[in-house]
Amino acid sequence: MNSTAEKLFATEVVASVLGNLPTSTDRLPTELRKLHPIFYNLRHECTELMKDIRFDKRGTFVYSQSLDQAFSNLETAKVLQRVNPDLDKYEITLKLREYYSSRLEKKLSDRQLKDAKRIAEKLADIALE
Amino acid sequence: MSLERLKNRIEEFVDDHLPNELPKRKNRNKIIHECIWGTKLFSENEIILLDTPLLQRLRRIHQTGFAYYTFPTAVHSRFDHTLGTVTQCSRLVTVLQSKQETLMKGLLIPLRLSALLHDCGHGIFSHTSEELYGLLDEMQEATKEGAEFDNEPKPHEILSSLIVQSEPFKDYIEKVIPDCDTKQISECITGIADNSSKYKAEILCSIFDGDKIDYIHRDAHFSGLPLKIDLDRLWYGIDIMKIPIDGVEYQKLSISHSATEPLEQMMFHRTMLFPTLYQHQKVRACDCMFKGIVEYIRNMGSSVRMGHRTVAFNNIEDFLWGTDDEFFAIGLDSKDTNLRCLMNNLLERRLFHRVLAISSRTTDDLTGHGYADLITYRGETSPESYRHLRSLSEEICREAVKKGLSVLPEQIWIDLPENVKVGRDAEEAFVHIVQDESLNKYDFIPAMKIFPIDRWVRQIEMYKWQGSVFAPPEIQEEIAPIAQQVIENRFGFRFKPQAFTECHLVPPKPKK
Repeated sequence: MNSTAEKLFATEVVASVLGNLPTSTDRLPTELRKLHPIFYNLRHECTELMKDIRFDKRGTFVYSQSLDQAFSNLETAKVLQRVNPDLDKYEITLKLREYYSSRLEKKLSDRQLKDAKRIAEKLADIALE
Repeated sequence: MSLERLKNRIEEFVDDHLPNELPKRKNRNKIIHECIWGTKLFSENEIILLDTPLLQRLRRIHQTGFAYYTFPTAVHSRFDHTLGTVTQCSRLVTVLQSKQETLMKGLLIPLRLSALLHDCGHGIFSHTSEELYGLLDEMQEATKEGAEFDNEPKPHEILSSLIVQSEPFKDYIEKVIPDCDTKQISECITGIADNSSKYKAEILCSIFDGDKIDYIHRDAHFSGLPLKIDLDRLWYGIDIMKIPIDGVEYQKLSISHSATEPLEQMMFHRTMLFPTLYQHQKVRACDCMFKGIVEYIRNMGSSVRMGHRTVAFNNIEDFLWGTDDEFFAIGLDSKDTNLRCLMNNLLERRLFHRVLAISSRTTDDLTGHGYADLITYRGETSPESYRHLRSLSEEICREAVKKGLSVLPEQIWIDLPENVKVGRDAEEAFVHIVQDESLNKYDFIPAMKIFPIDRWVRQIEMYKWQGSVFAPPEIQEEIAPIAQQVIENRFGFRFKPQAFTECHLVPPKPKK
C-alpha cells in the first residue's frame, strides 16, 4: 500500500472497486442505470478515489463516460467478463481479483483503499437484489 | 478564472465573425437543394445567420475530419450537416406537433435555430482537433464538478454554447430575431432540460435526435457505405409520453413497440460507422499526423500563421480561428524543414503506416494483467493519460534514434481509439406498449430490454477493436521491433506474429 495518493485512471478506479467486492459477490448487473449512480452517490464520501470521475446528470439516470469506458476497457482486456447466454451480468472472476491484487492494491493509498471498499460494499448490495 | 479568459477570447472570435450591419431584408425565404434530404425551405432569419462568417466557416471544416483521405467522397462539411440537422429537427418537431400540439407550441423556430447553431463551435477537422483542445486546462476546468459545464458535454458543444451566449452574438441575434432566447438555444445545444420537458432537449440530443439522423445518413452516404433507416416508420411511432422511472416522472420521447426497428437500425448503424469509418486505421493515422504537427508547433515554442491569425495551439480558441484549408497552409513556406516536411507528408498523403496492431488477437498475455495496464489508457480524456502514451512513444523514438534512424517524436504514435458508447442511449430510449387503449394507459420498457444492443456492441468490439502504433512508412520495418520491445518491456506481455502480419510486416524470428 502506498502512503501518498497516486493519480488513478478510471479503469484503475473500477478495477480497484471490483477487486474489493466481497468474495461472496461473484456477479454484478451490467446496467449502467444500476452501476453508475452508486459511484455518483458516494463521490463526496470517497473523494480520494473519485475526484477525477465526472458525471452527466442530464438524463434519467446519472451516467459517467469515464466509467462506461473503464468497464469496457476491462472487458476488452478480458479481465472482466459477461456471463452467457444473456450477457447481462458481469462475472467477478479470479482473474480480475488477481489483477487487482498484483497490479493495483500496492498503488492505492489508505484513503483510496477505504473508498474502494466503501463503493464495493454498496455494489455488493445491488448484486443481491 | 481560466473560463473567464476563454469567454473573453470567444467574444473576440464571435465579434470578428459577425458583420457589423444586418444585410438588407428582402422578406424572402430561400430554398436550398441538397442530395440527402432534398429541397428545403429556410426562413430569411435563418439565411441571415447562415450567411455570417461564423457559420460560413463551417463550409471549410470537414464533417468527418480526415476520413476523405481514405473514403475519397467523404468531403462533406459541417455546414452541409448543419443544414441537414435543421431539416431533421424540423421534421421531428412537425411530427410531434401533429400529436402533441400544446406541448410543442412555439418550439419550431427555437429548435431550428438551435440546430442551425449546434456545431458552430467546431474547430479545424472537427473531432480530430477536439481530441487535443479537450485536454487543455481551460476545458478540464470548465467540466469539473460544480463548474459551468459539469454535465460532460463534448468540448465542441461547450464552445457552441459559449458562442451563442457571448455578448457580440446576443447583440447580433437581437437585431435579427428580437425575441430570440439565447439561453434556450444554449440549453438545447448542451442537452439541458428539466424532467417535465426532457423531450425538448431530446430533439437535438438523444438517440432519436435530428443531429444523429442526419450524420448517420450523411456520413454513410458520402463515404460510400449507404445505411438505411426506416424514418417514416420512426415518425409514425414517435410520441411524447409521461414515463415514470425510478419513482420520478419524466416527459420524454418514446417510440411505440411496433416501430422499434428504425431505432435498432439507428443504434446499429451508428455503431458500425465507428470501426468502418471514424476509427478506420488510415483515418486514425491521419489524426495522429495532425496531432503530430500541432505537437511539433507547441514543442518548438513558436507561433505560426493560420489564416489571418498567429496561433501556437496552446489555447482552445486557436483551433477555432482557422479552417481546414488554412491549416494546410501552415508551414509550407516555413524555414523549419521539419515542419514543412510534416505538413507536406500529410498534404501529399504520405501517411503513417501501422507498425504494430494492438488487440486481444495480437497479444499473448497469460495473466491478462499487462495488456489490461495498456488498455487503461484507452479512451482516457485526461492530460495525464495523454502524457503517459506520449512518453512511451518518445521512448520508442529515442531507441530508434540510437539505432541510427531519422525520426521525430511527433512521428511515433500509440493510438487506442475509445469505445462506442451506445449503452446509455439504449437505456435512455423508451418503448411504449398499449396496456389499455380506451384508458390511454401504457407500459414503458427501456429499448435495451427489447434489443440488448449494448451487449451486442460489446461483443462486436471485443473482436473488431484494435489499437495501433503508427510511424512513417519509410522506417516501418525498422520501427516495428523497437516498438515491440519498448511496449513489451513496459507492460510485460508479448506480441504475437499477427501483430506484425496485420500490418503487412514479416514478424521477427523468435529469440532462442
